Amino acid sequence: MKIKQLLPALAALFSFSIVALSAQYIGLLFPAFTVPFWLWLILLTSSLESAYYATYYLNRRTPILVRFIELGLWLLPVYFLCGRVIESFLWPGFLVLISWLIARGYGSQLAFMERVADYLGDQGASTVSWEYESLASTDYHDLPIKYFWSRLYACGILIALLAIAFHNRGGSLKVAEAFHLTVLGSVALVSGLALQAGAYLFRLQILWGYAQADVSPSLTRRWIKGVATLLLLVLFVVNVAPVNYWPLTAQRISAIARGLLIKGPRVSMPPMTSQDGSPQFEGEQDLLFPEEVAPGPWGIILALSIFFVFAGLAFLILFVLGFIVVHLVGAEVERLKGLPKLAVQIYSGLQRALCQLFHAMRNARTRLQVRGNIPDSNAFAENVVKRPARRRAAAPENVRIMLRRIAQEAGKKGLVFHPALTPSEYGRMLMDHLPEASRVVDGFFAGYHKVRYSNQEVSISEQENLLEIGADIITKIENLRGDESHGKVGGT
Amino acid sequence: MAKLAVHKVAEFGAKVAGNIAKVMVGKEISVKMLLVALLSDGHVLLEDVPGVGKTMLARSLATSLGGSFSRIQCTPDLLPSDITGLSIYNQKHEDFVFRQGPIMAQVVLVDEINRATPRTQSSLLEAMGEGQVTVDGRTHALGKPFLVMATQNPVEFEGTFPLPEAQLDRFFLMLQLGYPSMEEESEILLRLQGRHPIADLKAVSDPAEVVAMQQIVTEVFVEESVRKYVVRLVRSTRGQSQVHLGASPRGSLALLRAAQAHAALDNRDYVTPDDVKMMATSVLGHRLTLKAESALRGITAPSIMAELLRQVDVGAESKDGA
Repeated sequence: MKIKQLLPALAALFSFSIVALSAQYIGLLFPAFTVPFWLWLILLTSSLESAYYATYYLNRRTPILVRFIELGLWLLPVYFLCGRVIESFLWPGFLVLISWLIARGYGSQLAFMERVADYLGDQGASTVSWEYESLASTDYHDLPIKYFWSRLYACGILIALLAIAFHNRGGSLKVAEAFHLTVLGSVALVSGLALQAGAYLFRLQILWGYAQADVSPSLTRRWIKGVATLLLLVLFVVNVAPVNYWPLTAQRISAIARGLLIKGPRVSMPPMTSQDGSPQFEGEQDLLFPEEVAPGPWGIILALSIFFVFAGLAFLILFVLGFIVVHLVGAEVERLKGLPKLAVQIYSGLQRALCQLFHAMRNARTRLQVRGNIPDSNAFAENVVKRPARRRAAAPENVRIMLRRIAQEAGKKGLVFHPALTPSEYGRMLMDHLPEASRVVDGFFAGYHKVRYSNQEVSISEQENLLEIGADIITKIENLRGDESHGKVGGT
Repeated sequence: MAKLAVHKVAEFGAKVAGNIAKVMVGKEISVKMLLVALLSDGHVLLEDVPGVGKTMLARSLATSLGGSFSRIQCTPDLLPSDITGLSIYNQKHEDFVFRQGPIMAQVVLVDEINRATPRTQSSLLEAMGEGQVTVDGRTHALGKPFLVMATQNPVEFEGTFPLPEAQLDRFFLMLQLGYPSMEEESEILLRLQGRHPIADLKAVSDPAEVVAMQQIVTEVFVEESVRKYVVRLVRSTRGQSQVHLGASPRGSLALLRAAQAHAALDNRDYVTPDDVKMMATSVLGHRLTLKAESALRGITAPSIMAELLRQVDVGAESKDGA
């Protein structure tokens, strides 16, 4: 199923529900503007026709006369149903016109989205690149998605204003009216959000088509399923959950903070009128302003806690956003800008920090194991002689452990085995400080390379030789201790 | 396990390098890098100021290897068909016949590649990437070995067309020869007083031997920690703050293969992290696209690579090499 087939229906449903909901509220505010029930059917069908016609057939060459005829076909039945009285026709006719126009706008934008892709030509890669550029840039006002968002915001604000106006007026609702409002509101919310989500998918489908990307055919189905689940959740929260489900409001927080930080007398405002009702002016009673006092320690702690909680929440949100962005855009992460880039940086930083912590813990464990395995060089040499069977089983590993032991001993002298150094580079560093043992060191590292990086078996005698050489190097490093006080071993 | 005949690769390298040394004074490292590219079945971009011996190095290698050699002198009016070849109408047979272009050789010297237009440069893409050319809908396979050595002058900008990233990525490695030392320059003057030594240079190998050496190189053992080091190094270029676009996975493959070839030339049948470090700048440097501000600050790809090599964990003695 193509999302394009579904989007005009969603657009029509949204246009219809917004216009019908506004008409309901206006009818409640001004009873003269109450609309008849049959008008809803015409609003819905005219929106559907307008959206589908604009999406599939309308183009710039369509004569204006055709559009007038199309609109006239919807207004004419309204006129007749209104009893051919022009005063009764004006308001319902206006609503049909508005609904039809909103749906037409959406339909045109859906058609435009495909044409935008046409302008980009058949360069799939550059199309995708353009897409990322457009996502990263703030200057994308001409994109249809922006149009969809602005319409959603505008309609939401309109309905909110009408609802607030009705609420402030203190009007009461009958059960049927409340039901109509709930149904229309829910349809508007669901269709608006679904339309927005669908528009994104539609745009991606266009880009995938041009990029000839191999996209799973079940993606649209899964997308619809995901959006439907989310919308059901939103619908549940909006209609079933209590309105004041979040105990922390800005007002409440500021009141708590004010109470904690400023322990002063309350502001007492003098009455603006005297007892006899005449206006009271200056000089009669002074205003009392609070005296600012230093905040208490608990107040500061609480304020800091609130700050950290909010900072932590923001950090967590950015981390999650970073995770999503990294997994969505993959290798194109470097092209991000602004908030997505910040989110990705936070995500990567935290991930790196955790990795380093994990590495440090693992290295510490390895060091402990090494200490356990090789008590000292002399004992190690004894092992070579006394426990041949055990030695043979773990011999290649022992050569590696020997290097760690050498690095450990040399590290105490400031010759640190930096992780970015290769074994031979480290070997050269040791040779610089142990010139008399340079041949031994060189031999050890040559053998180590073979043990560590080659796939050929190293003979037991060769391994024994390496371990002995390693023990010898450790002894030589330990002997450097006498020279340490003279500053012969420099840190590297 | 049968012992790999890497000594043959080392002997081959010494033989060819010795032959080139008859013409080129110094430049042992550059010659080795060139051999690494040849043994890895890659292509080389020689970038440096005029007169340091880029073309001479390419010619001497081509001569040393034997096989067919062709040279393309790039100019702004060079057409793709001048490189790939074209079909011309043969009136005698009343049919179109394909006339091969200079790309149909085993060693191709593309001199001053950045003087050709992007369209012409792009005609090399298929040949370098896939070892074939398609003309008039027909695909012609190129011979083996196939080595493109391109030279470019980074100083001049007028009348030049910088190579696009896609084209740069096709080059296995980029070399900069640099000026010779005083002793070397003196030796050059001495050698070139009379007849140019390249005129007497003889082939010391043949294409079949090169192909055999290439096969041996692919079998050089790479331990897991070294492979992970290659990946870490390449990935670090992608997150570098001064880099706009890091090296691609093709870069990882190239670095690994280069390390294998380097190890084989050193008569080793296994790769060490030193091989990777040695090849990293030449293989990855030209694959980095620097940010404009980095370029303005005079930061170069080799300096970034040097910094990364100082930072990236080799994984030598961590427990699993990760």
